[in-house]
Amino acid sequence: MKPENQVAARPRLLNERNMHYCPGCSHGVVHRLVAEVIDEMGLADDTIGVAPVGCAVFAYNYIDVDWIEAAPGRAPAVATATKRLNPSRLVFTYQGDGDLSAIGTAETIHAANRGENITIIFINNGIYGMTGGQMAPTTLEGMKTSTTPYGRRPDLNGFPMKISNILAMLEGTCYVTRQAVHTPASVRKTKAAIRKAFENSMAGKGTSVVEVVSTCSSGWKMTPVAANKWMEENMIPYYPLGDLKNE
Amino acid sequence: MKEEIVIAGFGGQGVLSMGKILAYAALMEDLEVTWMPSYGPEQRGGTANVTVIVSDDEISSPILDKFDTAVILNQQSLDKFLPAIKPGGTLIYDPYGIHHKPERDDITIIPVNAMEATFEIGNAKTYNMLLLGALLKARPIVSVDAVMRGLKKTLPSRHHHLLEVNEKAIHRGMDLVAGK
Amino acid sequence: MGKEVKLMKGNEAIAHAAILYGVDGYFGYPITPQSEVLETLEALMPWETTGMVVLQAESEVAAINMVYGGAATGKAVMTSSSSPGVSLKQEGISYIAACELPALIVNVMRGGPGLGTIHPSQADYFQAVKGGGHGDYHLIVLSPKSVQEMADFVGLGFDLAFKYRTPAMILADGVVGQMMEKVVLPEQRKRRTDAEIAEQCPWAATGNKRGRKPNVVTSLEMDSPKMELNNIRFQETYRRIAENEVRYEEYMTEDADYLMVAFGSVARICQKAIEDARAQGIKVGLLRPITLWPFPTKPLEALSKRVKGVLVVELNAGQMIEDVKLAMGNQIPIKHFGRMGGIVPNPSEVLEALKRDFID
Repeated sequence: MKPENQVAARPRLLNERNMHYCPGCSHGVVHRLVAEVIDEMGLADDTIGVAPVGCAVFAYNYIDVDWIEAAPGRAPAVATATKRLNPSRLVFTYQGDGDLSAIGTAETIHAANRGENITIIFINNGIYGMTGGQMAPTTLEGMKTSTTPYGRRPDLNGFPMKISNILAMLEGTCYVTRQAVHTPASVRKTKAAIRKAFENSMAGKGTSVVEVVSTCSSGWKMTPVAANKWMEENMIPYYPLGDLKNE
Repeated sequence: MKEEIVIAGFGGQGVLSMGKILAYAALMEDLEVTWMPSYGPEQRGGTANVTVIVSDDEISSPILDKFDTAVILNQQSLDKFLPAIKPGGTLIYDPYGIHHKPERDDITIIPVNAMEATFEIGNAKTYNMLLLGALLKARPIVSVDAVMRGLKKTLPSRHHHLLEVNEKAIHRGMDLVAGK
Repeated sequence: MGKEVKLMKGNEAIAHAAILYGVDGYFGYPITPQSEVLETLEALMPWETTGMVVLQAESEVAAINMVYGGAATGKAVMTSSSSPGVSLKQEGISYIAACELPALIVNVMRGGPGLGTIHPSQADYFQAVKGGGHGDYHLIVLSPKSVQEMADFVGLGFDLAFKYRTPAMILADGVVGQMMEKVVLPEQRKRRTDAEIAEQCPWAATGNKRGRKPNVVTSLEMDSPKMELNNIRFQETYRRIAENEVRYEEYMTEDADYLMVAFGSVARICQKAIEDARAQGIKVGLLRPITLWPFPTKPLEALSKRVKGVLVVELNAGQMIEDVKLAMGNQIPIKHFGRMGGIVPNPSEVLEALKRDFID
């Protein structure tokens, strides 16, 4: 193949380790976007990622920047100190919905409320993927999980939480957006959102949050194609895409 | 020289700060000193006490059960600390609000009408300085000069205009003892 | 300026010493009886002078994870709290130990369990020296008896933490935290530069990866044989610490018939009791462990051959006594005198306990 004919390539910062993600999982796409944006911004040697507990716990195995692996939910607290003590670096967290909106709600809200100059990448697939498909705060009503085998009931389990809407209300956030990566167009939009968020972090504008409404074909027990369709028909109506805040 | 002192009364009477001023004066005189308060919410309204030890030598325990000198400002504290004064020791107390007079014949008992004197001066905040003056008259462990140097060092300069009234209160407190 | 004698509380001394040591960051949450640490730092505004970061976190959990985040980048970072708060910190402490990061944690103990009391206690001994969080790990545990040692142990704690890449704890009690004493603070040291950190901490996730591979700070290792090797490495570090870093103080043990063992402020109460005992002709000495972990096992073992009886005095129901018994064996009687729930015994009580157990 002639170089001029090449239209796509593995991003330089995405190494060649085989990802452990399931077929159809959104994580791989978002990892690629994060790696691309860091490199395109010239921050390959100036970035500290904070990994969560959840399916993305091994994010540090795939993207070649410095990483700190946080305890469940604590990534925004870890990133707070990391950024304050290393203000010239790009510091971002990469968290799932269980990590961010259940066990780490306090750390997330307070880091955002302080306006820490970090980016929070938030993968919302409505389920605990890594631990085996249990209910998350974001699980939709009626959705079957291993801990809601007959479907989520608000009277028993509360309501699906729109945590990004809460974060958008806080004075400390400068940019809160909800995107997806299920179509080529949505992938492009998500990449632009990540870029904007990282630029905000480097410019010291406050906390940026990029929620990515995602699929979990294993947890949802669907094929990747069916999961994408289910997400469009069920997740996105409840978690509509677009900017919640852009200052 | 080693003087083991307890100061006790209601929270808000300036018990802890009186101890602190004494401790700073000891620092000015290059003496060893410990200041150990009863701490917590009881400082406001309840009883408060502080143990101050001033010594030429290194001080072991900051917590004591026997004292050379006690400065007592209310009945509860008198009941608690009267038996804790060593034989030959000194009790300084304000009779204001005391309904059971202290009775021991193996210690020196000095009533000091500090509350009355405070009313005369018309500045409630001088109360603990009057008592400090009384203490220093009875037990001259540090000089008034050292107290004033300590105060000057610890008071923010915006409060330095209060130094004079405090010094006067100390001398007035000394006179209250001398008058006996 | 450096040698000026000052009068301050133990908690305040911690704050001053942290700034003077060149600490990069402090992350804390208010709790009695240690809130003066955070209050003093906020009042001194070290971010204007040394550049030190001071942050009041939303919780103890967040504060310790901030310490983790800072330590992972090679910075000198610390937190302080009191017993209930330190329980909350155990998660983060376990991660910091597992990632082999240097950090300093201060616990100004209050009486428990539960919310307990705000008054002095030593009931967190087990938690501090036996590994309060999950997994096999140790902290280097320093026990200050005075305001001077509160100040000195900040530097010592960080020096040891960085030397061995393991978290250190100052295990103080409400007496040492709240009392005022004379203290000589250390000279101001410069905070380390990023270049110095890169050189001294090649493992740190500094974000500046020019010329090196990415650094990943993690405690996760899914491959159990590798995780066992990690544990073997931790244990080797602990063995070296136990060999080199035991610190203790003996007082009047040369001719002692009886020995008291006590740490922190209680050691000073015992000293006074010993003065009184000797005035009555009872020859008593004291061994004060300064490092609670590693524990001064050997000097106690040696003393077990010379004294007739041992009284361990603690502000708890009997915790350190277990380590004393392990060190001294069962050839001599080893008794415990403890007060709990925030009650501090006075010197007379301690002397009475000694007499009750060994003399009367």
